[in-house]
Amino acid sequence: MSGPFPETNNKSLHQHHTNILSKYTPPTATTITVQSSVLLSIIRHTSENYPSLFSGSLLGFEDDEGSIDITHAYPFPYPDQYEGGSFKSRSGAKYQQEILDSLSSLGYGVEFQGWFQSTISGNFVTSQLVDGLVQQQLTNKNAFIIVHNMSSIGKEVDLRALRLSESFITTYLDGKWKSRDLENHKLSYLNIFDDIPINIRNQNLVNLYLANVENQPRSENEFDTLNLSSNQNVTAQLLESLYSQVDSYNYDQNNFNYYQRQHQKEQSKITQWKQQRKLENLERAKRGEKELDTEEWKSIFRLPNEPSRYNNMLHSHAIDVLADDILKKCDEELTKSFAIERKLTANAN
Amino acid sequence: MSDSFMHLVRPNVSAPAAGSANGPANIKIHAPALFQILEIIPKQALDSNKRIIGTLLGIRSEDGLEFEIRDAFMVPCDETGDSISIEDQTHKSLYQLYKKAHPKESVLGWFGSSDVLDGTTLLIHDFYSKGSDRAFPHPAIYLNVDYLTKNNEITAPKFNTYIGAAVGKGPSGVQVGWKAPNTTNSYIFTPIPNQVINSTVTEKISFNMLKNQSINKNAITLSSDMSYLSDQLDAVTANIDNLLQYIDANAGSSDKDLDLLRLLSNNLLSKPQILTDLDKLETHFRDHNQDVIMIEYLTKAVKEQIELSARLTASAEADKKY
Repeated sequence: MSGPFPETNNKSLHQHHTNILSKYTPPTATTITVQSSVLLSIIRHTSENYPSLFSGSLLGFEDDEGSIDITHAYPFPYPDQYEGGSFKSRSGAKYQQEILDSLSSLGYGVEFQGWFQSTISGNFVTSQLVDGLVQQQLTNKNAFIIVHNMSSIGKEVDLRALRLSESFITTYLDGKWKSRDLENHKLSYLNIFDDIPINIRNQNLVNLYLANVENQPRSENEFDTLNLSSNQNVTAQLLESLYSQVDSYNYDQNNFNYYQRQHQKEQSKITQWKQQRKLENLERAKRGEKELDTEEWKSIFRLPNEPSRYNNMLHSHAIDVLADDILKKCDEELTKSFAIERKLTANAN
Repeated sequence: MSDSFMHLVRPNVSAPAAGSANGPANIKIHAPALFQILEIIPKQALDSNKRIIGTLLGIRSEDGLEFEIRDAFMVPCDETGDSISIEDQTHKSLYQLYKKAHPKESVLGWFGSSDVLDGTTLLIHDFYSKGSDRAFPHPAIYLNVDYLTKNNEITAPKFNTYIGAAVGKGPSGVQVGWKAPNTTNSYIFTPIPNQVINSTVTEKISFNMLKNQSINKNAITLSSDMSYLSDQLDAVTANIDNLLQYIDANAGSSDKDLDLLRLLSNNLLSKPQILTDLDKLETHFRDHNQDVIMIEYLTKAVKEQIELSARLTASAEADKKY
């Protein structure tokens, strides 16, 4: 589930889309407002079904103040094999449409706004998820995705609302993914996504209820964060995800290295050829003969094409997010460890 | 809940008021469902003549005594005089869509907000008690949200839950619709206690966050770095303070807290062997910390390698002459 995403021809996939949709409009909605019932519904569904991954549709409307209001969340009927798996599936789209039709008959006036997806840390960066999101953002400029990072399950709630950046989508539409294209679009693996702030809104009656509900006693498992070894399993899981992302990264990097070697070889051949032609032309000049074309190498040698940097970008981003999460867990653990050690050894004296 | 409940023998639809020996019933309301209901109900205030109702979804235990309300949706209805028409089709399609994603759940009953149990309540309950895609063959439950005072002022919402089972002889003949009152059963509404629950710790953490930040705020920002560590530590400290205060105030004067004191002192005095061997303990901690630091070090190395590789590739490709 958390493994590397398949390396299969996603190149042909995104070129395919480029033909259908090619117009990018920057988003206008700068915040996401989520009704508290929707927040709890998403969290209930993703955390009850963990470790299965789930995704679903977020429905709502765009308000006048440049915010998207999310009023309904509907999980897709089946768990995801990998992140983004349901976004482009026919059954997922059909389910989403049926929900919309039923709700519109209720007079809610809601529309599809985005998706939610549960994941472990950086594993959400799959080509399926990205392809799905590009398609949505080209159809609806304000489309987004809420990613629920389950690596802190039971300890904290880690939700992020993300959109693909303008740099990413314009590069995607070019579809070439050469280093030069990344440079032209100012795209690196660090700015694939834009974060959008999430606001949670309690309706008045919910607020009134919350203000009057008694504080429930906290159970022991809510204090799991305080446990010294509470991150053990999660850190191991994150490290495994990191390994497999690094493996996929290396697989892609090997292709790239091969290209660079080939390129270098051809390049030195060309330099050699040019030198030879220069000498030849000097000889010819001495003999008063006509000089030979110095640009002829272009038809003799064929330089290898730079392979797409697309997979490299996605893996790099996943690795970066995973590494940050691992570092965070380690920091937490060290803090706790030092505090507990000090306490225990002080008591014993 | 301060109300007391009398537990009657549970009636069911097929054998009304049958003498089966069943225990007390209980309803658990999941917080997300509760919030959904609270978001739907105020629509009633927009149009005072309009009744807002909806379907309750969830799980019923095998003996039919435990209910878990896990979700809810609104069903439009139209009330005219003594009769009410419920949009059957909306209920059906929303339920079937929900069922696809939650195959183990089914219709439990309905919710609404009304200060009286009247003829219309009966008609709606009859709708939910009969036919396919509804609570049948189990008795439906009814959840009433009480959020208005006698003077129509809004107050903190309370939830009253009932099981409504048919009593007496059912109507004879073919049912033609729930509009005609002579085809409806009579129902006895038995109040049953309810409690609000959170299904997972993660959900409870978010629930507490909403609760703690809700006062006087319309919007709560979900910060990306929500570390609960300090919050949790504060809670533990508060617990300990509470306990100390209690002991100071009560425990010295009587023997009734002897068990508590015994439990505490046993917990404090008995410690594993390892804690007494200080050198060994310190070695363990040192080893552990070094392991963690090693993970950090290697992870940082990976992170930097990735960045370095990206930069090198970019500059190598930019320098290419051909």
